Amino acid sequence: MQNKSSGGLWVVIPAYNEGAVIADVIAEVRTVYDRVVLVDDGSADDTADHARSAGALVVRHPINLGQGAALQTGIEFAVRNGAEYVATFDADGQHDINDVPPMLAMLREQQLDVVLGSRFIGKVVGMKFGRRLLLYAAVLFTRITTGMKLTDAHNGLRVFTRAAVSRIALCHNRMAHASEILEQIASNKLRYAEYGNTVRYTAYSMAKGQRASNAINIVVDLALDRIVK
Amino acid sequence: MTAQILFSCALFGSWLYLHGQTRLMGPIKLLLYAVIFAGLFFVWSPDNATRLAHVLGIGRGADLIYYTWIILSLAFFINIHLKLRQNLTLVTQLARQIAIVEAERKLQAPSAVPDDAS
Repeated sequence: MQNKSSGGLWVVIPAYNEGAVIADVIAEVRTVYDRVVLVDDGSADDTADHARSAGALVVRHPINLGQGAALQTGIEFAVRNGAEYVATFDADGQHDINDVPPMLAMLREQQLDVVLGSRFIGKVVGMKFGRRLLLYAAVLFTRITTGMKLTDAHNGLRVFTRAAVSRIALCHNRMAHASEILEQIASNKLRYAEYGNTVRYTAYSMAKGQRASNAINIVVDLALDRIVK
Repeated sequence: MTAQILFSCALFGSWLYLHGQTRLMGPIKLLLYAVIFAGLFFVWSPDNATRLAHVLGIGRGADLIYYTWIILSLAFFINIHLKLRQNLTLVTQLARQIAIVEAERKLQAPSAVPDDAS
């Protein structure tokens, strides 16, 4: 565990109705990093209150916009307020904050722009077979659409430099943002690498996670985006 | 004859609506005017629809109208979808600005943030 005052890293956590777990997640994150931005995406529950009590800086959307929109808001807030590095982190407790310091070290030592978490290089606990297949399909889709040879295309744990994250501008408010981030990493020619992180699926996180049918929505969204551009 | 009058009234209503749309781009407006006048022409002269259908390799004039209607409906659907997305983008930017400004206002208040400097 590293000194909390080091790094210049801000952790951005998008959250929607995560009141049941968010205080524990933020408390765990704050054992390593003090600068935690919780973007409450218009939750109907007490997510914002729990997050504030746990010591996070809370940015609250007046209406629910989606995880991609919340992530972009958190990134902009962190950059505007002086973050040198930005980590994105899931609100449902799937990630381990102790993966972030080695990712940051990797970013600095290898002079990368972004380090992406990969559960398939690292460790995955409790993932169902169907979810694994879906994620493999996402990896294949990413390889076809961006040319990026990744092992995990939809991992919410990422660490960016300030310069790199400033070049990310998410337009997809909902779940297509994960693919959009990768597209922008590829199109901006950012230097990237993967790091094997730990992802723990719980009954709670599985209930909150994406449905398989969302994959179709994501593909349609991205295809329409191509038409517009 | 009754159906022809009804269709003509509907197309005339469409023309009035289109005439009042000032935000539509010129080429799109022209295309829609063309669709309305083509519709009127085929309503009152269905034999020409059949003749045109034969030229295009389609069996009946009714099928030509039907296929054209499907394609136009799809184009309108995509157009409306894209407009909704544009509006959602504006709403998102507005909500984001409100959220960030409000959070920064709280951040500037004393003891709002942990002492640890980044």
